[in-house]
Amino acid sequence: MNPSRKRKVLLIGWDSADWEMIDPLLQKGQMPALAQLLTSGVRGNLATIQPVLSPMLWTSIATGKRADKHGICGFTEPLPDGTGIGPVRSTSRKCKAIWNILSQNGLKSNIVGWFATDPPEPINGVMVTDQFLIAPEDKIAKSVHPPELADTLTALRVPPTSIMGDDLLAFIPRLKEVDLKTDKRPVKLARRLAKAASVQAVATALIQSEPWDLMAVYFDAIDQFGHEFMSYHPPRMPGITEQDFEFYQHVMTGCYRFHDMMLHVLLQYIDDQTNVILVSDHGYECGHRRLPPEVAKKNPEGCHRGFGIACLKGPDIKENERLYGATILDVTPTILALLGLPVGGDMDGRPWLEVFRQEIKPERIFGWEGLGDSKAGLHKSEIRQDPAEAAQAVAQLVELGYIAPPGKDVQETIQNTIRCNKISLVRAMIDTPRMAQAVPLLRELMAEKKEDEWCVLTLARCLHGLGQLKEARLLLETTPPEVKHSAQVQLLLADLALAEGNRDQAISHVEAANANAFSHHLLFNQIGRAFLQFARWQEAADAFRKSLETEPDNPAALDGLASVHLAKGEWESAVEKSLEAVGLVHFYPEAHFHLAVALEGSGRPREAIAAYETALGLGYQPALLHRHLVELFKPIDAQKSEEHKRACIRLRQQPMFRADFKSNLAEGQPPGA
Amino acid sequence: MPGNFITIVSGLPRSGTSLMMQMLQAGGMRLLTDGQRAPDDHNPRGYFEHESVKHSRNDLSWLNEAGGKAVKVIHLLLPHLPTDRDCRVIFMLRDLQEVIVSQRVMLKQQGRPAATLTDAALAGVFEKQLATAHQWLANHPNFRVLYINYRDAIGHPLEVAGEINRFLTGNLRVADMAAAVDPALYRQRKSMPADRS
Repeated sequence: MNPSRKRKVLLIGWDSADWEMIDPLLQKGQMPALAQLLTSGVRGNLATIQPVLSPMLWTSIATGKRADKHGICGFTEPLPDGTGIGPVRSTSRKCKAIWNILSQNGLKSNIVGWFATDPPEPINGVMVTDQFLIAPEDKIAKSVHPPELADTLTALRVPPTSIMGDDLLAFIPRLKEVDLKTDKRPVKLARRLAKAASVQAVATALIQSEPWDLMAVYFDAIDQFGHEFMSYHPPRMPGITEQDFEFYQHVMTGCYRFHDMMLHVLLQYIDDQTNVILVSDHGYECGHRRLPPEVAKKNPEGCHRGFGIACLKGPDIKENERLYGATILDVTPTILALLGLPVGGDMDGRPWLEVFRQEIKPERIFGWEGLGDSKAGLHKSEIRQDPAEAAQAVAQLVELGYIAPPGKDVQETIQNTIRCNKISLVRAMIDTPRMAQAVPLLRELMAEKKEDEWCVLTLARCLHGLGQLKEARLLLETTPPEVKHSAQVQLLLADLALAEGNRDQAISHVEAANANAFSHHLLFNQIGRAFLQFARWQEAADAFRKSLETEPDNPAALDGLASVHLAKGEWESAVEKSLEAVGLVHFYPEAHFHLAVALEGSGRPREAIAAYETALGLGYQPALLHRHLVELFKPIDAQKSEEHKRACIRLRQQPMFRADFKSNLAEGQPPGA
Repeated sequence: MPGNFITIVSGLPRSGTSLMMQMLQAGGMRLLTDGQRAPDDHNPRGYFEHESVKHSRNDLSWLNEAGGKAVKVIHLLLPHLPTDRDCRVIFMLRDLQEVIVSQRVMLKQQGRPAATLTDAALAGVFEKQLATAHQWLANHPNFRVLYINYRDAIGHPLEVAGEINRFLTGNLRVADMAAAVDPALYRQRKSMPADRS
């Protein structure tokens, strides 16, 4: 990068966008703007994080941090005055977002429609919040910073009533045959279309009229359309009537093409100094793995796929490259690096330096929190607060008799919201894994609702992970028989039996789990992993293959197969599977280790060294890795070999950390998900 | 007696709002209370509340009776009041740790649930609530505010009573106000108050 040139970044968010939908459209030439980005840019899968809930994920994208650090844990939260619940607010975010960091560095951001940005922060630039798009007329001004832009931008909002029948024909070609009196789906479509058009109108205005270094625009329509219309996407699913299929089968492709047109427009307004980043927070099942419609309605999170999209193009980005191992946590570090700013050491992601045209080593600082806050465009400290804590404090004042209690329904809604958000936080913690942090929260949840099966099993898993075996077993003993015989509990009991030294009992639990398993890739992964521990390679491989059948983009199953190949001395196959695994998720220390062992076994020492060093950098069993590196470096670099030897000696007395990524994938979701 | 403005006694619960109501009553001020909440061990002389005030989020009809009187309104309800009337606010301040201990003791003795937050977390929320209330008051000129420290009221009642009398521009009986203060009721205290200087 040339620091003398003023770089800019255009970040576009398409909620739920998925290559599985996009690629066929690209092949047919139906997304020309995106095709243009890709032909001279970079594409990759973008791994999501748990739980797959959009407000949490888009806040992670904007902060580079997980929910335990950013504090946004759901769609709704209690109102600070305890009178009910409302959409999640920017005042609940516990850390700086990219626009705060840019503000304190004198850079301007225009932010449009991003999740959890209301009320708008007084940033250097323009903030048009997510609530701006749906706020009633008298409250619009409160959703825009600076407020003097409110009138101009309000005029750009597209009311749903302005969407005419002809506008819907690209989505529903047979609209005239639909009975609009009884079928409200076209009206819903019009409403969502209007919202997307409003985002586009505001973004198109701001990109031209307001100076910016970062322009970030978020569109939720692909996800919203998906939840309403993906069931009608071809091929026709069981349970979908022929007429519904005929009417609505084109909605999703129409939605993607509409987004491509909007992308085309935005790209008209950037210059050759702008790097473009297009991302989605997760994918959306669009093929044979779609949930049945009635199940999808009850479990919207289950419709999401673990991988979204990443696409980059610009003066600092390589051409025609692939991006591997990227996660949504990397977006903010990447933007910081592109704009020449230090990456926070407290961020959970990494900049995608491998796709930068020029090799750079971005500066790192401990973190941006507490630095330059007065210029960061943050809310005043008195209105930044944890909504659950605020609600609890108000509840205490109600109990003291100084305020009339809200209605019983309202109290229940507040309590349920706090509980849901707490569960989401626990899920975010065990995705890392931070078992010790999750345990007190799980105990609180269980104190409120003793019989919550997910809490019981998750707490048992955490306790097992922390070595508290007796307590974990006691907990599992309390579960009803039907739960106790489930595959999940049997696997947990197997883990416990193994930890207690009872191998035979462990094997019988794994066999029971295998017999009782329902078809879910995470469960098959756990079963495969369990068989690996007992060197039952064939059964392990079968389980991992079943897992891949239900979810092909499945790093844990690929790494599991790599382990089977390693055990059998099939080095090249192990290399292949390990590479596929780390290609999907870079932060997968164990898979890098398996790759290294496979490369070493296949006689490629230099490549093995690189893989061992990567695993080391990701925190995987340092003593073990140093030992391998001592031997590998011996013939080629005696000094480095000595360095690793000294590191081995230093570590000998320290307890070993087992980076157990695979089990965390399984633990990231409630049973039955 | 003071004019026809509304005198509002506000602050966190257990910050001395009942004590202030007692002082005003002793000084000759009319109070807007309904006597529904009976005295108990925590407020042996009574709470001086009006039930309707607690519903201020939805119903402000009590304001019609409040002119020229003093009424207790918790800090959280202040932003629900109309901003077009003259109000004088006596806002009680007390060490947050003392407030929290006092609240917890009261809830425990009544067998009611307290927040499961740590004292530090609860103090953090109360601080923010207070800051918001202070800011709201500062933004509305029809609300004139006198901040009274609970310790000062206990330790230096005569001085505080004089200050309140000046603030309310009335002819309150300052000596009677001061005599209404019973230091024995200052139970949850971190340490003895220092001399006021």
